[in-house]
Amino acid sequence: MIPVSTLADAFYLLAATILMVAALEFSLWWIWTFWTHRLFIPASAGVGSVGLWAAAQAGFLASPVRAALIGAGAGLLAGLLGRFAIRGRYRLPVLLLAPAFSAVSLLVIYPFVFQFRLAFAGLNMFTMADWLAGGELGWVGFRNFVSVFTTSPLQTISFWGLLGRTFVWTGVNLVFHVGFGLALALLLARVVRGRGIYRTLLVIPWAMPQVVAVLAWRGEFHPQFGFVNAFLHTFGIPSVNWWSDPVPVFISCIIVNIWLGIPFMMIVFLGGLQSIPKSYYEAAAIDGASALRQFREITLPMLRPVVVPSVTLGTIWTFNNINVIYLMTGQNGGNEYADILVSALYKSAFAYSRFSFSAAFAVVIFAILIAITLIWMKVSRGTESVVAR
Amino acid sequence: MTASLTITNVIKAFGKKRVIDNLSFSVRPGEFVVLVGPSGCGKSTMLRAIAGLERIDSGTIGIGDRDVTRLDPKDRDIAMVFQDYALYPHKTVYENIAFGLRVRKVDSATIAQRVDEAAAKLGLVHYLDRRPGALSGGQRQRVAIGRAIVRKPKVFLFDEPLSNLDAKLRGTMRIELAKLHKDLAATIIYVTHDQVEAMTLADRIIVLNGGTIQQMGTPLDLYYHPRNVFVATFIGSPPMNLIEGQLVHADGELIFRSTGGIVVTVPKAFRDTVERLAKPGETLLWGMRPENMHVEEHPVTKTKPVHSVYDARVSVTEMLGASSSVVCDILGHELHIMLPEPHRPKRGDIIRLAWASKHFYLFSKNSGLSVSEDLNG
Amino acid sequence: MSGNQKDVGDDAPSLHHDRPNWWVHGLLTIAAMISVFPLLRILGVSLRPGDKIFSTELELLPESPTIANYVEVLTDTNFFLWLFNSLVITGLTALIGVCLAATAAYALSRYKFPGRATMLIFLMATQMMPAVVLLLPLYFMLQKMQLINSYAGVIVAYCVTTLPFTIWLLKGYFDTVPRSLEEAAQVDGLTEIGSFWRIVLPLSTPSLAIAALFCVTQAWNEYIVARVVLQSSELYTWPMGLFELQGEFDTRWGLFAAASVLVTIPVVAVFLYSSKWLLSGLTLGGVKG
Repeated sequence: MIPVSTLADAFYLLAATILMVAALEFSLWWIWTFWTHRLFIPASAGVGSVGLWAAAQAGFLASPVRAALIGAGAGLLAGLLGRFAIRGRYRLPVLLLAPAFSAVSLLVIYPFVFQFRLAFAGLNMFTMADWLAGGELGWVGFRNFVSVFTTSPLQTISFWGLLGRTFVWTGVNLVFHVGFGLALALLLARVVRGRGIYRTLLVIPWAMPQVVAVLAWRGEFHPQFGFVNAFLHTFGIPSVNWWSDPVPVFISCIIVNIWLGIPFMMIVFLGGLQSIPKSYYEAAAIDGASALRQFREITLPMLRPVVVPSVTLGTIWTFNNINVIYLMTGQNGGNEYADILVSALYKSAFAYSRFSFSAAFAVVIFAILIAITLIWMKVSRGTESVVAR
Repeated sequence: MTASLTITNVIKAFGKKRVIDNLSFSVRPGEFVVLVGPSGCGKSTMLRAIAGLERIDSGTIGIGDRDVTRLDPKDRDIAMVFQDYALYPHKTVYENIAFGLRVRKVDSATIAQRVDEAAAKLGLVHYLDRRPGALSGGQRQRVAIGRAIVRKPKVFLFDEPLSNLDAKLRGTMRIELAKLHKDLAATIIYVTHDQVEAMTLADRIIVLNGGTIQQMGTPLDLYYHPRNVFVATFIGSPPMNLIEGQLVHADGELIFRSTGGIVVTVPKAFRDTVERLAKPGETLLWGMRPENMHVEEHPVTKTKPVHSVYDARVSVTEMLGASSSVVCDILGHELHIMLPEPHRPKRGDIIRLAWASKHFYLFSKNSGLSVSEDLNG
Repeated sequence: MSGNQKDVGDDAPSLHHDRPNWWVHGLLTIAAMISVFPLLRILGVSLRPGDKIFSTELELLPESPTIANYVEVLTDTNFFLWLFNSLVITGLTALIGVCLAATAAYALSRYKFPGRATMLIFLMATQMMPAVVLLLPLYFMLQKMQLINSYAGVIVAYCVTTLPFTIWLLKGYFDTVPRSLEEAAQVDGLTEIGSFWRIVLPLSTPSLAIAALFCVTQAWNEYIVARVVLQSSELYTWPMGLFELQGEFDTRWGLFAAASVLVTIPVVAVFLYSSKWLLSGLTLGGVKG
């Protein structure tokens, strides 16, 4: 059933990976030991350029000559930096950080910079072929950025519509996630027998692969054969066209995402409730406080340190959730009634092939996320606790 | 014979603050030296600098006849017992003790022999297969000590090893440590904030405060001849009482009169020094150790004027069994006194106390230095 | 497993446990039913003979359940190929992720150096970014490197998202290892790196496992990125394979459901089994505060 060539490929790749990681760590040890040797700088430049040249020859990089030059330059720079700029006591941490740092630079920083460049070019479905054939990227100024704000990333909906919808999406989801999550946690805290079973069952939406869960729900929202409409029928409510009408589509996505996100909040709250010492409640009971009072004065305030990070995480995950919207609205060929910023980005890039436009769009979304992050950091003074540790 | 440890002009600062301010001292082979002082005085930092776990800004550290200032901990020929023991949780007691030798590629026969020897000495023979998690605090500490002694280093470093133990265990371990020291004839540098440990264990004590050495000497030296107020009040429990006052001349004698009216004649042996060192008219502090007051039995008669006998009103008495710790008030000064049995005064009692001692402690309030003995030359 | 580790909520005292709580049980039961409902429905569809998804009945189990769908999925489709592909990609992602992250996390935890604060903030910030924002340039990069439509390409793409969080997670763990252990090791005769390699790392195997597990959960269920990078059907991961069962004109829902169930059961089982560890890992990451 599995073609032999694929099997061979896999083993080859596994071996190559292990070798690469080992080579990386070995080169660290090498640098560490021969740091002070006279020939260190020229040797690292040489090794760097030879390595890159070989990689280019093997087909991993485009132009061998350019690659060799970059390699030599990088090696030289690293050697110089290492020898002179970094004081003795920073050697070790720098070396420890090097593998991850280079990976992150390659995989995060470089693509980001490239995307920024791409946003100023005129790349789309039509000009793609020219570029691949070896042409230059071109320069169209801020045109793409302007069209992000003025034209529709998809068919009809505008950027501002998407932005608004994203905030509505995030807000509504958050309210229900926290509300239901807290409610379920409180209920779970009350029972002793069967708590394990309940918790296991209630966690399933989180445990299931999102793809399977979302597709299952999509099936249930099918106008004719889905459970949801059948359920509504039992109350005398007529069928809703969950798949094609604008508002129902969006609502169905929200319902699914709420269902998906409750278990996480529930578990977090349950843990938080667990950590409140019983003695507080006992003291309050002696003082004569009612259950509601105790909830307001003890439970809620003491849950706050737990609530804040989880709400933050939950908000981020919801804001950036592509899976639900994308799969519920029928993927690439589907409707755009529920699209939020990130799913619109994906579609404009990979369904509509508007490459440069999407690059600009991505930069804009990135800016929005940064703005939100900064505001949140200011509000919660999150950075201090991060750096202090 | 060369000193086991030589510290010369060591300075270490964290930012602008000097944690170790130009310290110099040396330790003879086989000596048990205790670095003692309040929190933040730099003693732990100094110990860690000797170990090589902290870098110093200037100065040198020598172990034996080698300059180890630039060397890694592993090359300094030292062993250290940490405050939290730092036992490797995933290794057995045997492996913990053997680890240092294994790293240095000592052959397993020697390792086995040395570990067994150490285990026998420390009473760990039955625990060699256990993990640290299954041991009590006292046992863990012994494993930490065992780890140190098998390496037979030039210098042993102890970082407040007893502070995590309960009071009773602390007492037992102190005695064990003293025995171990004699047994191994080892050079030990020991850091603690507890002056009782310092007094009982040390051959020599170094009192630190604010990164500088306040005084260095044998326990009795420090007890009976403190250089300044800090050392005087730090060493000794309960601490020395300090009474503020001034010097006056009367009847051909030099007399200390406190602000409340307590009067003490400066003994002849100290008179010259006091006259020399005390500035005219300066405020002084008279130091009185709690055990130097005793209850005056004989009635006071007019024909025999006796200085330094006073009626004291008792406010608190702590009964310690064979003695009592009493807080009382004499002429407005609150004093701590130690009285032997059978004196157990109650709150509100008036007792008659007399001061009698051949030691006399007088300090300048301004500089804190002793003016009754010339120790600061 | 269940005997040793306390799970979330095990210790929580039952609040007001004297009151009758039949209604609590009632609510919880309803909630539990809503939770498992979709899964049960898929199960039901997978057991249906023929393609009787097109039925408006509300029942869960069909009248004449059959395992024909399962048999067909396992024998007549590329199911095992998809699983194999997923396994390879996920495994390698976890391996690379943990290896690279471990040393970096250690450096961030133990040393102060210029730029450390910036790096920590950067790591925290990257967790706010969705992969989508970088997907397009990554796609072009991979194309230029001729890694499109290969295992390596997908793994590279996954490392983008898993690496920052893994570093963060491991750093949180390393922060809890007392430094005196490494100092004792250095006094015992190891170098700084030696104490990391021989003492701290062996001690950290549980948290390395958590980190690997995290990478695995990220990569195993991932669809969006895989869809962009992988194009030939012999490289499909299981989510993509699932969609292959969903043809243009004719979707064999029975097969689709059976394949879904076959994938979901182990995933849920692993999740439940490891959730104790995973959640304590999140605690280290600061979620629980």
